[in-house]
Amino acid sequence: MDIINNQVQHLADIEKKYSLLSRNEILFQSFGYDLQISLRADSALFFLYKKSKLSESQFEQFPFFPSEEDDQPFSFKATSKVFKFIEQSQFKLLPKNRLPASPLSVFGTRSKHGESYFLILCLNNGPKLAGFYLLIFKKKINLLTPQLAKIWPELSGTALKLLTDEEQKDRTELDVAERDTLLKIAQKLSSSLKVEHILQQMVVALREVVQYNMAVIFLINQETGKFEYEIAHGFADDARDRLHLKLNQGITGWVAQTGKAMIIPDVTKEKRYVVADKLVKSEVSVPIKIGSKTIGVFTLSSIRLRAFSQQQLQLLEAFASSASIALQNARLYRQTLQKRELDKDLQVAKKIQKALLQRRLPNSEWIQFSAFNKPSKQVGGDLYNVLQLNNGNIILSVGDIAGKGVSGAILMATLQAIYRTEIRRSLEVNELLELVNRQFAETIEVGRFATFFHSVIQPVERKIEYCSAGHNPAIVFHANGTHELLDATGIVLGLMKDAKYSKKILAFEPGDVLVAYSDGVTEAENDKDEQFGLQRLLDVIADANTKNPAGIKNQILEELKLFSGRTVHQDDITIVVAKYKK
Amino acid sequence: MKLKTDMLGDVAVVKLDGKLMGGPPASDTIRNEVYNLLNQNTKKIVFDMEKVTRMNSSGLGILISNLSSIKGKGGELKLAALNENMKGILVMTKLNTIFDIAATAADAAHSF
Repeated sequence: MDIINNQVQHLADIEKKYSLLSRNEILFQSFGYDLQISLRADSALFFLYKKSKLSESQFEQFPFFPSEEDDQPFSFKATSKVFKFIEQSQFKLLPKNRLPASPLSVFGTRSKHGESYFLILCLNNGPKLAGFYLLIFKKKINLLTPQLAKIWPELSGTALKLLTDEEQKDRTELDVAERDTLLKIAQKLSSSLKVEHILQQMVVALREVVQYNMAVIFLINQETGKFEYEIAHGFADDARDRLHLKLNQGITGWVAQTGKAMIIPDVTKEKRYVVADKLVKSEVSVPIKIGSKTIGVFTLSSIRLRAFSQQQLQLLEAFASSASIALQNARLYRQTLQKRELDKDLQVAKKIQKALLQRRLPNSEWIQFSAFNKPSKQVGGDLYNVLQLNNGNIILSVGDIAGKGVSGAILMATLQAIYRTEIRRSLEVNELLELVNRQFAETIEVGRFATFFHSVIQPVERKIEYCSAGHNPAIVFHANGTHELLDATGIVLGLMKDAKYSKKILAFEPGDVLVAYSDGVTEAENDKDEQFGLQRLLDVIADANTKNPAGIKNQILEELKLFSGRTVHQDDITIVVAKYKK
Repeated sequence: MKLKTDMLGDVAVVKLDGKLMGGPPASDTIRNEVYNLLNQNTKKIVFDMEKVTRMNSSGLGILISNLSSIKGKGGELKLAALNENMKGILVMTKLNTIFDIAATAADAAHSF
């Protein structure tokens, strides 16, 4: 259990960290990742200057990944010795917020981890420093190329502008957050807005209207239509069990159905009466209505015969109408709160996803791309990457988290972050997947997993190397009309920490098409409960493979739409198409 | 998702009925049943999937978490009577390597 608890805790921590990040910070971090990948740094730390915080270093450090374990030699905290060294040697002589003089600088250091080389890229906002990226290299290579020096002022300027714009938006969001806190306080103070509380008060208040021995209040659940007793007062314990009535059962059920109040002067003379407590001799039952709609019933019982008069009934009906307003308010309020909570969750998740999914596909000399990703809800559990390396090779991957909604989206973000961090290591495809799996398995709860397809397209060698962790078979459609299915080469990610994956290689030549997708495509259903399936997908690709990638992707989407008719997409859909130019 | 459990000697055969598609109703129903069985010290459990009409990756997640809780208590779980679709999913995800699969519930019960 401890392991599971730890995983849950870990996940909660990640969620918390992400939810605390502003858009500004996510943007800053995502820009950092891109720098790291394009400059092929072994590791990187990002520091963002915080105006409002009085932290030691005045700089917030990103990212959260990799972890601070020993096998991650280049990850260190802001308080660590290495950091202190950097701070002292580089920044000490400079006034606060103004480091270093040049927007680009390089230095080397020696620590217990061996030699390291650092490249600092500063985001200067006029004379002030907004933040900086610290890229760490294990080998001494020419870090400060003339190209970088040339492009950096413009690049950092653009990044800075985006950051400033986002900061403005974040401030508005903060106002909203403050309002939410106020709402929470208001909620605590006005506890009478709780349904249970209102019902309790009703039972007490009714005593002031009439004399009774037992009272029971039923409500009709507006979502399920079920008739349930919410509160019972004065009954013997064994009588409570008999209070489970259906609509139209007993006097109370009858009143609920007809919406008309009833006085029963003598229960023994009433056929519809269901005995709950033998002591009851007479009762009155009154509907609680909103307009003409009955939302509940309260029934008062007495151990005396003819305990309730017509006059009292009128009083009780007036009481019922004011109670109905209170109940309705409470219900609306509860719905609003629930929706607000959900919206907030969704906003956080959407924010994370937006930062993590690619917006632009690379321009390759040899390969053309097209990609599509649509969550079934506001947020999704699918991810994809298309990244070009300096040597012209392309990394193309598609992943699918089992389970949707916000928790799926958080896992997707976790997986994407791990993958994007490890991908820089230029490992063999299988080694990479093993590494990603190990870290992912340490993060997630039992029963959660992801399928993942990871490939490297090598245009010069005209081949694809791939690994698949239980992912739907990607398809390579050759220009000569034959096709290959890229079956799984290992188990799904996240289940077994030490899972092994094998690497497969296949030819990829001019005119060939690679289609990777998530199960939302093949498992799309029509109204006859049939699935789209792999064969239909193959047929579409066979038909469309002479088109460009966007054309192929669009044809798949059209066929999917035709097939599933008006049925709403049940699952997230991701399609990535790559075609070797002729 | 409905279920019914029959005892074959010391083996509990849990017959699942309906769509195994994740979400609280299905996952709670099965988890509660497995929890009860484990509490009664039943260690040999078969999920009879004959009446499961459809399964997706979330359903697979339910099977995995139950496998893990059963193994955690020193028990064993076997799956029986999977349709082609479900077998396909298990093979595709390579999860056939961690689940014991039998053609019928009786076969599964006898293989403990």
